Amino acid sequence: MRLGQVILTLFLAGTIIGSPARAADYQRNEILNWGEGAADTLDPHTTRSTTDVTAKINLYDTLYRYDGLDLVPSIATGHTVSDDGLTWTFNLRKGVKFHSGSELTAEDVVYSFRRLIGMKQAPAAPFWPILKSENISALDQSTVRMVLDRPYAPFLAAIPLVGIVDKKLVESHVSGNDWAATWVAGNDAGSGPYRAEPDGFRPSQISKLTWFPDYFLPFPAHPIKQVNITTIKEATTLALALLKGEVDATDTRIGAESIARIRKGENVKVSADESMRTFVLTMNNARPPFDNIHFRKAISYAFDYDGFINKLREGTVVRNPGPIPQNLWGNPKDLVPYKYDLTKAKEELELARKDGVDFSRPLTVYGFTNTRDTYLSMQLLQSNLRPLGLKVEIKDTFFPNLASMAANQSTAPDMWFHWVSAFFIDPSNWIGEMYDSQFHGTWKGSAFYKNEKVDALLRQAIVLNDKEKRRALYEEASRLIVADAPALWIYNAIEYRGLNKRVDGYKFSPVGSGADFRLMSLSQ
Amino acid sequence: MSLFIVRRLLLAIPALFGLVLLTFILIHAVPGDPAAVLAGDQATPQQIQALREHYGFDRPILEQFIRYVSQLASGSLGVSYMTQRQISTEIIERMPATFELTLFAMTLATAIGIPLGVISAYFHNRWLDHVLRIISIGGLAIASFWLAIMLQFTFSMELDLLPVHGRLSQGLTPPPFVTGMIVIDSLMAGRLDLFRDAFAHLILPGFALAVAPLATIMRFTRAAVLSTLRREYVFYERAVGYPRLVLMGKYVLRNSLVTPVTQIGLLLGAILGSAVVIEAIFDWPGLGSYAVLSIATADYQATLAVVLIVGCVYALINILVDLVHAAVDPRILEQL
Repeated sequence: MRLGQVILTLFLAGTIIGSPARAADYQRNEILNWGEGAADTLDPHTTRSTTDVTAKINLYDTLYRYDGLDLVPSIATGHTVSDDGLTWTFNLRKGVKFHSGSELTAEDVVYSFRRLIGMKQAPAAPFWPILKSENISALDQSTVRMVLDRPYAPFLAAIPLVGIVDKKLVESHVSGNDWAATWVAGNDAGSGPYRAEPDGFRPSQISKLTWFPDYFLPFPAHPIKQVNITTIKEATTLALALLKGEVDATDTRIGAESIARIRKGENVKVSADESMRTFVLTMNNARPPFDNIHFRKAISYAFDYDGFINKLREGTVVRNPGPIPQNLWGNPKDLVPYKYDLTKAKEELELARKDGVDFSRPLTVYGFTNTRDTYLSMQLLQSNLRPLGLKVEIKDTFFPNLASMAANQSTAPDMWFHWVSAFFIDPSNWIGEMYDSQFHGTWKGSAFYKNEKVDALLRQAIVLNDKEKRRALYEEASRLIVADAPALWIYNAIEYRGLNKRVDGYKFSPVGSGADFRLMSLSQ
Repeated sequence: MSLFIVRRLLLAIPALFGLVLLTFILIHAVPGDPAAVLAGDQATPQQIQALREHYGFDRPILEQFIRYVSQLASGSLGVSYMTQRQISTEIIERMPATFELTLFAMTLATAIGIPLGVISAYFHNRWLDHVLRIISIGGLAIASFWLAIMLQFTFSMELDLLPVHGRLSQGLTPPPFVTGMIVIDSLMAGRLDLFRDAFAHLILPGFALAVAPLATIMRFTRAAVLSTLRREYVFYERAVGYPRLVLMGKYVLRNSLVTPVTQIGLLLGAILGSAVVIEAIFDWPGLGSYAVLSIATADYQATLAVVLIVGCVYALINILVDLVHAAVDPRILEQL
């Protein structure tokens, strides 16, 4: 090849690489590129991850929905509940259309709840123990009645978990007793503000949504008409994609380094909202030496909370004093968190020694594979416990493994770091499912903590409908639990999301993390 | 020769069975409960148990294994617990992406590695050889994930020449599915714009993946060529004054290729492993990222399916390597 040819080839290669990509059908300011990641499944009754929730809140409607922290009616116009707290009657909005064109009626709501309970998957959890399929009925076209087996105060808070599917459409794809699971997982049977494009969905890769102009609630003046959801796993890549304008939003877990990088960029902004995702070190209270309260207190005093939050996490999270997120009702405002205090830790350890506790064996602590926060905290714990003469072995594995280990008293780790997220906004989501002994056998109950007084308080709080009475019960239970030190409550997360400056109307919610596309618009 | 191929294919079956058995045992040896994942954060122990029974996770391992193997025998890889879709569909969607990336990387590694290896051998222990040695050792030592991120920083962020991630830019629709490799499909559809975009997406991950095998191929070629150069016939050919290029290209290189070709075969298998990391960094929607996803969600059948597919590819490559040996060296052909 002659020099001229080489230059020509390089030039051609340059034009090949340098030329811009083609635009799609809508205008640029009508297409949002959302970098949070595509859902694993579109089925609203198997929702597990935040990305699944994003799909659900945009494709499907629920009886009530969360607006920030508040529960507001959505396709229900309101509800009544009997004095015994058992019979719930929901009145439905008339004229709500599914994407298929048929009208949403009480029959669809009944079918959706029955499908949810029949499939027994994640969003069924709060309902499964208290609601039987045969106790859900349509009184007429626009009234649904549900009769609970026993009173359950968080019932309404859990209602936004249940997306309403188009009964006729779903039933046409049923084979045997499969609830059309395969079909609904990849297709749209909803009435939400956006619909899923038939060929635009590949689980955990891409998802393409287009707006549903006939939606019953208003869009802004310049609505977003198409949303491309892409999956970018590496935090660095995601931050780069935002800075380059390839995506308009990151997820909320991209870490302090990427946030710092984004803050320096042009045309991008960072939203920061306190969430309800607590970070906890759970100890196995049923296994020696953790069955001794002084030993647990010694650990509670030995962890450098401030160092972790302010140095390692650079102040991007806030201290959480007890089992309930500190920004939620039920957490006593005067609750004093454990502080890093080696003298007190040594005193407690001495008391434990007097009780005859043998803590010569090495202790194991588990965290999640590839999760920076748990590594940092495990290393800190290891070095914090060394002055007390306690040896800590660090281990990690994936969540499913830890979840099943933690569910069993004999396989549960000595200690493990984990998060507890908001499935619905009610104190029972945290304190109830973690420290009521009837939840032993689930990963949330992996402290294997048992205090009969606390059990009584929590079980009373779960059946009452009076919020003020419940608040008092949860506050009392929180104080008792903190005094017993079954776990170390470390922080409540602040969710940082990198956004392109052209995104307007972004509003955070602890449930669904704010991916409510109907409220947003693009300025350019 | 066809007898050879048939024999090798038949021999692969027990090996693959062993692979499935081993993976099955390993998966079940570590704790991990898909039912706990499916049931979610709020589940009661009863709900988890109900799901376990529904999917048969509570059955004895041997029974689960027999059920799995008979399902494989009937030609099904099963349904993913997490996405409720056929695993075969998901793999067919993702496999071409991995093939595209690994083939591109191997082509790059071979096309650069072999000539550099020959040059290195020809000038051995002179300055050019030293420079190439430093480069190749560096290539072997460098962590591919670090290189990948540095490439992203340099060529995507600072210079803004190449895309950061994925296979196609936002808003572009892939060409009609023929091979599933966008670079090829776009050419077949006559869509040069898509080809350009897809090719640009391929460069950084392809290069990051190619560096380690490139260095290996270069080192092996150099060693093989050097040992051939010491043979008497080369000495003779040199003495009678064969032109250098003919000598190197026709007589030396061809006689030295057996080792590098074996290496390339083995590297193709190994590269599927490193592709897991590179795919994650560049969000390349291939088998590697699928494997990670399936492990992280305890989606057993999907993990098993990926292992099985990679095992098949490995077995096929090994047969192919033998055939290429035969093509390069007629003496081997006689033994087949």
